Amino acid sequence: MNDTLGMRSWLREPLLHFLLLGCALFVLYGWVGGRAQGEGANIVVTRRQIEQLTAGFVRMSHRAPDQAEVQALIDEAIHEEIYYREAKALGLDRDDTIVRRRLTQKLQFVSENVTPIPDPTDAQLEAYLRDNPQRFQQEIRYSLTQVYLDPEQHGARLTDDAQALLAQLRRPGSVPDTSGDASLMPRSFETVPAGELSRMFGEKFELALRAVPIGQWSGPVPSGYGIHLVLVRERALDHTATLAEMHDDVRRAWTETQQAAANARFYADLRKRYHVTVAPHEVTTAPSVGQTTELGP
Amino acid sequence: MKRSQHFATLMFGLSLPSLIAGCASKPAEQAVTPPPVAPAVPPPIAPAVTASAAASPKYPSRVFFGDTHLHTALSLDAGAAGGKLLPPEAYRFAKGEEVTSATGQKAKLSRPLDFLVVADHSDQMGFITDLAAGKPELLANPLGKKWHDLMTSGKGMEAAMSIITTFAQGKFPKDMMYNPGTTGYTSTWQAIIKAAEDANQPGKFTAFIGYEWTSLVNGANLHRNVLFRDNGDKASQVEPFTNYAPGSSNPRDLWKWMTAYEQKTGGQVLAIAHNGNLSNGIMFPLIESFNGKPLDREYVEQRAKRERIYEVTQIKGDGETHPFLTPNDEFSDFERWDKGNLDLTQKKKPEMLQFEYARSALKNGLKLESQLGTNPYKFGMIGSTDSHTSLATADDNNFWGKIYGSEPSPRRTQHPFMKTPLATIMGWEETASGYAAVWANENTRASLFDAMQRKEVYATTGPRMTVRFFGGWDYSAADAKNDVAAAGYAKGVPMGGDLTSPAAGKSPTFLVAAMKDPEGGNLDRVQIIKGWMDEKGALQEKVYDVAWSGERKPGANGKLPAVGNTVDVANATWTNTIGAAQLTQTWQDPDFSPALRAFYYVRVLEIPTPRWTAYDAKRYNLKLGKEVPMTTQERAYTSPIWYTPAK
Repeated sequence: MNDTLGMRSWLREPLLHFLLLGCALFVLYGWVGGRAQGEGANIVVTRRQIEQLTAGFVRMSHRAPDQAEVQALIDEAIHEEIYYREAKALGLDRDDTIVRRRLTQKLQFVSENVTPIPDPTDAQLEAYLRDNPQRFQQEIRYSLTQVYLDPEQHGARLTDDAQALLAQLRRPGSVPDTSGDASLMPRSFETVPAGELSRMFGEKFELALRAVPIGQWSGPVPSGYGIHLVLVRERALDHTATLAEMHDDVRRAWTETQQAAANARFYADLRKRYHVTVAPHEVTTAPSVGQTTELGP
Repeated sequence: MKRSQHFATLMFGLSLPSLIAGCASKPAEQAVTPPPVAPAVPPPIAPAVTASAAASPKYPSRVFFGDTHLHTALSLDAGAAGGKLLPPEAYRFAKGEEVTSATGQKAKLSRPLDFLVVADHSDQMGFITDLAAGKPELLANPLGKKWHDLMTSGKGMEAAMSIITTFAQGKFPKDMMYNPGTTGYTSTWQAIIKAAEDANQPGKFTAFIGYEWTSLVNGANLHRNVLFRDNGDKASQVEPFTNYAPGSSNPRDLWKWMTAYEQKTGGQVLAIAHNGNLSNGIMFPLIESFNGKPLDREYVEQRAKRERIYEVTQIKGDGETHPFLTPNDEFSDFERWDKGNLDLTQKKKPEMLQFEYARSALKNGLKLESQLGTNPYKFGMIGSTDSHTSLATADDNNFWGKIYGSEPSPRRTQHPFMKTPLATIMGWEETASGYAAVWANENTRASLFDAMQRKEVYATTGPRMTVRFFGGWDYSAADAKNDVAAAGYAKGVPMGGDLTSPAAGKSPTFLVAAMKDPEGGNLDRVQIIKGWMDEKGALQEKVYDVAWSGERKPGANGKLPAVGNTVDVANATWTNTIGAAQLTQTWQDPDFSPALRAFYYVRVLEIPTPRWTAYDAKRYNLKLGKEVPMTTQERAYTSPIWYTPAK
């Protein structure tokens, strides 16, 4: 379920944890006091809570609420609290998959906050990078100069003109900056990633560049615009990144992996406390829903 | 009563019927300083951050493509109709990663975008996803519990109807309102900020923080997207402005909110209006709809300051101009949505149109400027999708539709997108459009935002065309044959700029260059559209063909013959055997008068290519009716360059 995964990833946000924990404490200690202790009919609105409500108003309206508005905020909060308690009393929270799932998530947040993942050392990150090379691939990068020939301007002479220009460019002292036709694309690039070249010139242009000899005027190479003569000065092959290249990404991935392992350990510890019996059952396979229509040209 | 009925339907850009349609077709279950007026200066200089620009010129060398208007399941209408993907998925998709759509299909862009604004509706933000997830506070309300149970038991359509009806009747429980100041709302806004912060990669991909202010007045669309230049540290100090309390439906109040934000945080925000075509005559008013009075100085000054670009093309139709307004423009009848207001509760009347479309607004702006000293409609132009699926698509061969129910399926073309007693809008009428193109020095929030504020932007209906447009007094024919950008910036102003003070007897020159999308159709022609206010105060316009492919000659009527058509509809293919890869020209206004206010913008047309409906027909083996267009001429609209006489 995409939504669940999506929710979970941003529900890990510390501020949200803080808010959720804050809400929980707020509800547990500040307000309820003790329906459980037989004081269920008491609702105490503290000065601190009123300050919080007022602060929320100021944040939105950029001004302080007046007397009536403060009263309305308090009334609304009381209304909410009563609804909350009554709903619980009616058992609306029981036997509800979603409430159970939500509480499960909350426990996970709490456990994650209680046992934060320590900062990794560079040695740990190096090891992680070594073990997961496929996750940290760097694109091919090119340094090149290109000279464009516009088919509209050359018509049937396009190929001949390209060959003549290529011969000219290969001679010493050639001036690539003024050769060929003007275009809106830059003539020269330094260490540009393959994907960016594809977006500017079309995919087939970049694919063709992979086979072009280094340090020598070559072509013609076709693009989405026409044809080009190219001087590839450097082609850095795709490779697994070094830690320096992708330190933050490696760190993020390492932390996520550690967190997942910590969550698994936490669950395993809890699981040991339970004696679980599962009834015998047969597995029936259901046809999969969902389509996998690929869209594309 | 009237207003409350519009609540659910209008605020979200979708009506109850459209939601039903969507469900029913479920497949398989700071103060910004304006740029200097006169001198032809290039934009602020920043060192190029990307390694790509070899010689780092002192002006923007690269155009960035993105979407400033995308909804996720956090928007009430999107989530209620079946949307599931949240902001993190929306950003991942925009970056080119594959995601699984709400209808269970694999979705991937053929080419990543450079930037994205997740702009969810600020009213009831996050309510629907929390309801689906069973947030205890919402389940505590019996209605919330009922809706939740319906949604989780596969009766999403019934839930959506009940939610919308409850809104429409004004009976939505106050304790479930998701508006600023409530915990659910605050955490949703913080989650949106968090998703943008996580996705933002300066120099590589920009994830803007933003939201949509969803103003509705009697069914008329006055929506604006609000976009932050700033990071989360500033954006999280405020909560979005809403249409309902504590917000307002009057744009003047949005502008006040924007001012308050900037004063409080030292940050910057901008607002982008859209779908004037669904405003029934109140998007670009001369008489303010809220008080019935002519626009005053404060309105025109605030609007000029706060709304410097306009979203001219998107899925709910194209808004450049309308055949009624420009009968002599043979390209004006393009993807028009002109049946009524946003929820089709009021029919369109011809007299409304001049206050809805970009070209007429640009013209009316000249008149307002002559009267009030400021032109409120001096806007640049961009396109965006307004998609409600978290999938920012505008390519005809990879179009994921407006909302859950219009994601790819054999039924989506023939199913009503919207239906009321007044009119029906069919699924095939959705437009696979558009994107925002931004000339910026680098791909960062600040650089892209600043480019939008100086209007160095253009709209495309989807294709990644590269378009340059400069105005000045001294461009020569040779300038079009060399480095257009170098000459362009050196001798004049780029799109979005201003011209004043001509030398005696001089008429302005314009340098225009367009390159096709490297994966798309060739170019048919480049046009310059001029609007001006004549000696008698009457507003005029003229369309000039300035560059075109092939050996075509204008006919006796002055019109250039059509480029031709290579589209094979049955196979949804075409060939680039007609048209040009690039068109470049220097053009001088033949009818210039230094005493008259004027604007000039460029329209670039591609050769005909298959419309998304043709790809659907091919993919699903459909027989579509004659009323369904199967080819399209994609286009780009640049921001204008304005000429203002010296006083």
